[in-house]
Amino acid sequence: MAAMKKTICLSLFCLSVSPPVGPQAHAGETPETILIRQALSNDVSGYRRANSELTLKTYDERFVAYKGHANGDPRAWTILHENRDALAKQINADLEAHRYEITRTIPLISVRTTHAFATTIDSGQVIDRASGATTPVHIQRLWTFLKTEDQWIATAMVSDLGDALLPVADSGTHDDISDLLQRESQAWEGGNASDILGFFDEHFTGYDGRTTFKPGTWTIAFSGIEEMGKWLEKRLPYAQYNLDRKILHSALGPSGNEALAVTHETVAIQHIVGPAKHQKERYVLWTMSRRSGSWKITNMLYDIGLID
Amino acid sequence: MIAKRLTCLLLFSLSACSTTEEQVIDLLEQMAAHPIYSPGWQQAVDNLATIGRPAARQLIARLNPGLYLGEDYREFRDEQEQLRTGCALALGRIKPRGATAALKDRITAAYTDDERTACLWAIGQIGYSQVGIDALKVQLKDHNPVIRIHAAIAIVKMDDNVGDDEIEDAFSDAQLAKIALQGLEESSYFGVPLLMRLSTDGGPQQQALRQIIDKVKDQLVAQLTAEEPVHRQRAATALGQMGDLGPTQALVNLLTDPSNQVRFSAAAALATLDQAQGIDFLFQALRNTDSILRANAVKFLAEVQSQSGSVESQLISALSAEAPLARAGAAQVLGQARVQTAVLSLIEATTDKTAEVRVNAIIALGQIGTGQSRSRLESLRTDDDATVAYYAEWALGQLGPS
Repeated sequence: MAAMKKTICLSLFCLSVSPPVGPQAHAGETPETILIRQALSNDVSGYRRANSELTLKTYDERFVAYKGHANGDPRAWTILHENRDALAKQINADLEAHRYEITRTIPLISVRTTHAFATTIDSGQVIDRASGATTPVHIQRLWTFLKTEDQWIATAMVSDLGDALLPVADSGTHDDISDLLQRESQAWEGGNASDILGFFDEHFTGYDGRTTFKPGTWTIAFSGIEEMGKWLEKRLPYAQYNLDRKILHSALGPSGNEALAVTHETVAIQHIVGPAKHQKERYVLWTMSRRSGSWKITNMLYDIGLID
Repeated sequence: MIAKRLTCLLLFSLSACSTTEEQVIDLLEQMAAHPIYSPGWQQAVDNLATIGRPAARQLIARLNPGLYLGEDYREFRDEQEQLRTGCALALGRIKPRGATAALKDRITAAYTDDERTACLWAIGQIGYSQVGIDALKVQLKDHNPVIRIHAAIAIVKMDDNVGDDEIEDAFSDAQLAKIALQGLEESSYFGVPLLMRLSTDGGPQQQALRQIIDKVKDQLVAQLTAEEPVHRQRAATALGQMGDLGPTQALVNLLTDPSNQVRFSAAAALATLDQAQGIDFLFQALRNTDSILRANAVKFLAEVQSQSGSVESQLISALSAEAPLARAGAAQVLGQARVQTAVLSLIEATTDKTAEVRVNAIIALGQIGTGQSRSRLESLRTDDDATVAYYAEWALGQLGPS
């Protein structure tokens, strides 16, 4: 109750101190979306004012940045920065070299308890401080957020997210990533919840993509390992899973501490108390981190709609 | 796998001492574990319906796609369909009024046909609500005729005839006719007027319609002893509309029912069937000193006369009855039923020594609206009784200019 009051007070405070050009009220707004909007507004304000400190307030120290290469297909994505320090270096260099005259719109914010994702579109121009040359900007981003101590902080961002599925270059896979994901699929067949959960980061986010690659239709299915654990407790006594997984793509970050992968799999369940079987094929996007020592899954997007 | 099966068997064997919530969870898992409409799935639906209202909250929750996230996540759409369809059917049998709002959100094209038809059926079974009927009317425009016929049947169950054309059209298609017949059978007394009309239209479904009418008649006879007075009342009325003398004695038994409305409905049904017990009951009530009973008698006699014409001669005779209340009441009924053949008798009644009779005869002449009464009404404009004169003026206004 106290936390809820704090959240409401904080959101009212945010609204009251927002500058006229800051975030505006939107239909369906909640205290949580107001706070996320404020965090995204701080980020872009920092760029406009060349204030890296303000910008970096939005980011978690474990923040990971991906480059989308204008493609909705994550098999084309690469990892740009593996933590906030790496991002900070890039921001400082950018602000030193360029002036940003950009505005940000936020078409989507989706929240489930302590996890959220959002999309933004930045438009305007970037001016080279030395030459005065201007470059028009129109860039779409996908963000993920985590709420900690009443504050929403960005945990990942895909820059230059495409709104179409473009061709992807043939890419290899990394053995340790493939091994991780194959062991994860075997854990499902074993039917032991703790074995499955052992592959996931405590704060991971599980999404259901509903067979599209566009974030507008995605929903968050699991906000962290605790919620997924509760699901497995309910699910596994009644369903035997069978997974046939193929690793299609994986990519590692510059330091090899962050990874992303795309799999294609046939997932089936056989109900224990009856003859029904359910089966489907799906693509899954995974992000992983080994900042804690071993690889842990940080995001899992079931049923992202891709084409072969 | 074997260990899991044993665990589940153990869980089921312990279910006798589990809470209702746990029983519902087990039955939902049974529903998910059996193909839709299979015996195992149907058994789960039956058992959930047997639990009744204590299960309703959990069943309503399963209609919502937002539930299938987090700890209730179900990644297979067809599994969700099994649950949503089964929950809707169970809710249709439990009939919690609060479920309509959740059900009507699942009848749109965003859901599968099984889900939509189950939710349409459940909305109809739960019965009238404005929000429900508004949503059903939208589905009458759906491109899928199966959805339209299910929507139309649900509307009939809400005692509205806006979907009747859709049902009549369905009889030109064997598959749709089957759905319509089943729906009309389930519609009980609400479907009787349409059933009777369809049964006179001819066509290839006549035999099937006769069978449905017989089944509905049996249902209605059983409902004459229902606990709820509204069921007894509506069943009696519908049996009168059916025109079958079979249930006469069952209707006669209701003439001593504790409920006024049931007694009058039974009497009206008997009168419609031209049975003396019903006609006598209504005419006795017409001269009762209790104004409520008299008002009921007028209302029901007017309905009987409008539907069957079976009490016309008795009404005209009653204009000469000894009791002034009976004469006044008969005039009221003749006016409300617009009985043209009673005009001369009503003109005669405008000479009655009792002003109340004269007033009601004048009002009846105004309602019937024939020019035959004009000269008499004009002479009554100067009647000594101010009320008589007032209504004579009113009645002339109803006739229009000469």
